Amino acid sequence: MRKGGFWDGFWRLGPVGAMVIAFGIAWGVAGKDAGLSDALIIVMSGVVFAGASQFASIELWAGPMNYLALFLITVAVNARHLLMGTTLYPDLAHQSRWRQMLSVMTMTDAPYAMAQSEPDRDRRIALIVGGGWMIWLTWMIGTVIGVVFGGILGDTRAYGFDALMPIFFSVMLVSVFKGRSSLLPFIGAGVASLLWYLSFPGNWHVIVGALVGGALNVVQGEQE
Amino acid sequence: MMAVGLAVMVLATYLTRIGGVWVMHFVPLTPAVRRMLAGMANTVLLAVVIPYAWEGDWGMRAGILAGIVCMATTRRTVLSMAVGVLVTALYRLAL
Repeated sequence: MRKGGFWDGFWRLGPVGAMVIAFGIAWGVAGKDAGLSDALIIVMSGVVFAGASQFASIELWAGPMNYLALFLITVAVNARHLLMGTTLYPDLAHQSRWRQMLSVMTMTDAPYAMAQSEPDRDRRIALIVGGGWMIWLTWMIGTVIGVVFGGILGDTRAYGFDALMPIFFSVMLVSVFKGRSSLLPFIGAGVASLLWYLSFPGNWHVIVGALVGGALNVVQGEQE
Repeated sequence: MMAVGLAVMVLATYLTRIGGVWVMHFVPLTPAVRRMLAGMANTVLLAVVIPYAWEGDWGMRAGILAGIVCMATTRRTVLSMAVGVLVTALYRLAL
């Protein structure tokens, strides 16, 4: 696996990792502001490793614990992982069950998006795994910095850090856009997810948009 | 309490990571299923971005647009990201 792209994926995610440090700092600061203990903030980054759901959980840690709500919100915010897993299955199918379980452990958006343009199946998985560890490492570094030095950094929004992730995704969208055949799925998914997002709570718009995009891609394929 | 809460979050998150792979063990990979997965793989990124563009300020939107234009013309990922973030920061600085 290491020969086949692990370190390539690791280093290719370096620039994104630099920005993940900024997100980690933001998480550390937000957690401290909300009164979470230093240990909880840092351990959560290491073992949950899913930033959006960590932010979403903040309010649930105050007051009596509602474990069901914690579970459901975490699943909903991270539901996009389900889709990544389904789309990676053809690449993972020939690997052992254990290997599959280890490979998805650090599966996260940025390496997944980066690897979409890699044609070779095994290399694609190795890139995602290697990139995932870069993101994990930088997420930890950022979290610790945020917890220890958070107070003195000021407003990270002014530097445009919060725009980094959406910009990265948009750039990746351009690289996977294949002209006319992408048009219908992209427009359909965009409209469907936006309408759902504006109408219903709970982060399911990601699933809805992708399902519509996938379905339109099937319909389009059958007409060719 | 903290350990239980963390365990709940770890379980929930890992289930989302492995769940999609497990479900596909039971779904035959016909050409239609492959097209479905390929379509989802690309559009899921779009569905993640949309709320940022919708809820974000004009600095965020300008940055996203700049990143897209730069990528479409140069095909260079890191450059496009840097340009996008720079545009967002400058926009917020100027206005």
